[in-house]
Amino acid sequence: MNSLRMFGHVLLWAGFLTGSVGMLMRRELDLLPEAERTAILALSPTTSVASDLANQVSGKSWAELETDEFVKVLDSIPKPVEPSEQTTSEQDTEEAPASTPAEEETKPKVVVPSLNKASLIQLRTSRIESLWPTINWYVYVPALLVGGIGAALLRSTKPNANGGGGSSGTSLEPLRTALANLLAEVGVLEKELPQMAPEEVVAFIDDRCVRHCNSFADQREIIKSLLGLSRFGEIMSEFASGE
Amino acid sequence: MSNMKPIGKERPGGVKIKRGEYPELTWTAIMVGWGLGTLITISVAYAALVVGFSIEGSELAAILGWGVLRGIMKRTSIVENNINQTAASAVNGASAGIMFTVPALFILSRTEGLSSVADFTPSLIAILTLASITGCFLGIAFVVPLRKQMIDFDRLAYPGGVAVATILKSPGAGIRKALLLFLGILLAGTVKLVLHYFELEKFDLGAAAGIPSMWNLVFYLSLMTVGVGYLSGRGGLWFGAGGFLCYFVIAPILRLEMIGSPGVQAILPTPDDMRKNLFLPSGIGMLIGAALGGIIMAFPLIRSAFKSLRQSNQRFGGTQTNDEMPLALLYAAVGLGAVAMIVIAYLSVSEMTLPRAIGMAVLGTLWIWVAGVIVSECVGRTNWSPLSGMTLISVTLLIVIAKAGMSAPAAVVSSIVVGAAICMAISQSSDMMLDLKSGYLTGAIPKRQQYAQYLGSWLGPLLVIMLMIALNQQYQIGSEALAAPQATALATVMDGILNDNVPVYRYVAGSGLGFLLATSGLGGIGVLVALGFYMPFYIVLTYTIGNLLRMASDAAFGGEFAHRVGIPVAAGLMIGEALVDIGVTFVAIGINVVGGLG
Repeated sequence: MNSLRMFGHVLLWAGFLTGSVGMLMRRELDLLPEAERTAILALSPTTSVASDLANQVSGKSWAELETDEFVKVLDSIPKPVEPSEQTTSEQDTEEAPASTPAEEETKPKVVVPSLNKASLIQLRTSRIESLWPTINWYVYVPALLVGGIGAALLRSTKPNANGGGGSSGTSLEPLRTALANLLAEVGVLEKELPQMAPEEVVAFIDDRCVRHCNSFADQREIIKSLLGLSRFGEIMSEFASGE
Repeated sequence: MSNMKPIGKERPGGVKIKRGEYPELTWTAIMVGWGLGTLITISVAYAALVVGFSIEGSELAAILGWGVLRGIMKRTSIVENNINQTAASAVNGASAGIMFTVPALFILSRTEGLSSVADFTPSLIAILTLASITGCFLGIAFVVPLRKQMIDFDRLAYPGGVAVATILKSPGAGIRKALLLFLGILLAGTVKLVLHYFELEKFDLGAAAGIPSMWNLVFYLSLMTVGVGYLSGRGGLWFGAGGFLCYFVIAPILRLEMIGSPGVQAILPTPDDMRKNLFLPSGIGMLIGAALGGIIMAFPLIRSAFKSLRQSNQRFGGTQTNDEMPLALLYAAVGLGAVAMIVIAYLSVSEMTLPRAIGMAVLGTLWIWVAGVIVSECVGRTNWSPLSGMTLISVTLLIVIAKAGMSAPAAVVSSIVVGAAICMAISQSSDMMLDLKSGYLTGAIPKRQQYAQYLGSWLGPLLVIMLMIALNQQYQIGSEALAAPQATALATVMDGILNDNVPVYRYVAGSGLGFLLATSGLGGIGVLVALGFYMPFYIVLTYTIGNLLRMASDAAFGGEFAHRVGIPVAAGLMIGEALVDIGVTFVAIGINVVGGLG
């Protein structure tokens, strides 16, 4: 691998990694008012809250609560949920409030979602006008540009499948050899075909032809680098039909 | 449909060997496919509602197909059985396509202001069925031209297709390969049964070794996943790389106080939380960006594929010897499908206006193509389909159009109706490509498989929609008996979308990174790394074991060993575990039915 290509790899992956961090480092929580942030962070990491708690406490949905009301609702959570009862996933569920025994018999038990801290944050961010600052664009965009330069370098230094040397005739030799071997086996098959049962034909192809087909297919990148994508497409199309 | 003449020679079973064209696309194969497909679809659709995952029915259809076609009807054609499994799995495409989307209406109907969305009037049922069938036809029409690029040119692995082809070829592949296949089935089946009995799904190596949980060293206990990794080989390593980047590099960086925002540890304390809130939405965006980048980079190849299809049509003039479906027919299917989507969107709710219906239908049709490319490539490279992620994006796009100017219930119903069509299309796309790979490996004629897919796909929506309504009346979808986890997740997201709570910024940023990798010229890594972000890491880890085993076997024994020994065993591992999964589903259905009667 030449040094320019190696440099391309370094730039591509440095750009990708930094861009990923830029994409994920500043999260929705940072956009919430300070009081809400503090109240959420004060909750136990494994907090699980009934989704209708806001309604029960203040008669409003989570998104409709003002900051002080939201803090009050969080304060009303009596105690941290015991580890054995806790749920942490967004899709985790808990049972609906208990119904009377009569209802219990007639109605199937319906499950309602519960909320963890991440879900609470998501509900509150619906009040924020724009969530685009969630991404740290000052990190993300330059990283993407650096990665782009790396990608361009990799494309421009892409080696020929044969290592870059030799004439076209020499480079295509392994492909020609594979096809010649295949042709020889197909010739044998053609002669023996009238005496063979279908299973024997399948076994013959698997045992004696497949390896030559694979040999051709494994080296098909040579066609791409020597003859271009369009010719590659045409040749592989014909090869696949024959195969 | 066939022209076979008997010759004197006989097989050991006394069946006369015939010479001539193989029976392939026959009504016998289609009808057996419908029958087996119905059986598999009802079971799998029920399982999708209860446990939230769907099973590819091709392997079971191929095995049962041998029993019916060869055992009972004395028909021995491999490619005829391939048509049977193609039709059967096309029927089964509706299990995921519908059960992951439509039940969201039942869940959302319990939200304040949305109680009317689950009023399944006869006209809504008819429109929903028509939408689902239209989606099937569109999905198949869009994906057929991609066969050349993904199977002929890129030669993607399609591990599921390899497994089915191994079953199909097993009677003629020699005793050694059949034994290896059986050994794999037996091993994976036994292990799965034991794991199921002890209710073991994962092994937490990190906890056992005292490594902090943030490193997420948990392995999925699944020999099927190892087999899939083996069949994908070295190329699948980039899938693992995506997961390792997330949990071994990015997550520790984000936990640093000076880089990550305060409270990462407090808000997202487990790797699973980090995945759901950060990596998964970014992964969806990356998948989209990588697919779009891949399409742009592969444009000369796609053009070449279309040129080849056109030439093939011109050369043979539509005669039987042409392997390809006429392009005009595909164009007609896309055109008619797009028009049908407009009609469906327009009729889905009374508040719908024609311009909005056109907008939803055009967007939906375009998205079917993009998502079809994404899912087909993911399945081809890793055997995993990001179906739920793609459905999520489609419903997000649709609801954004629908809710501007319509009431919330109308927006929800119309989005789900068109979204179900899209989900069906995506499901059929990936199934078609898997089947085409099986066909490629067994010497089938692509055109005949494509007709079989069309002939099978319409039946699934009819079955699954009826089943869903019946089950809801009996047990109520969303109850403990029918939790519908995928549809519940979709309903939660839809609720968020109605409240303008969609992480579009993360999708956009993710798509930039996916695009970057796709344009680097390092074949296919964009989609693979993105899938590593998207999938749970425990699956990625186990899959990587399969990749490493393949690399080790190639290095130690050469590539021939993989073809002679490794691939039949790996295919067996996939089939064995799938069969036990299906068996367990049947038992669960039996217990529930008996319980219901009691």
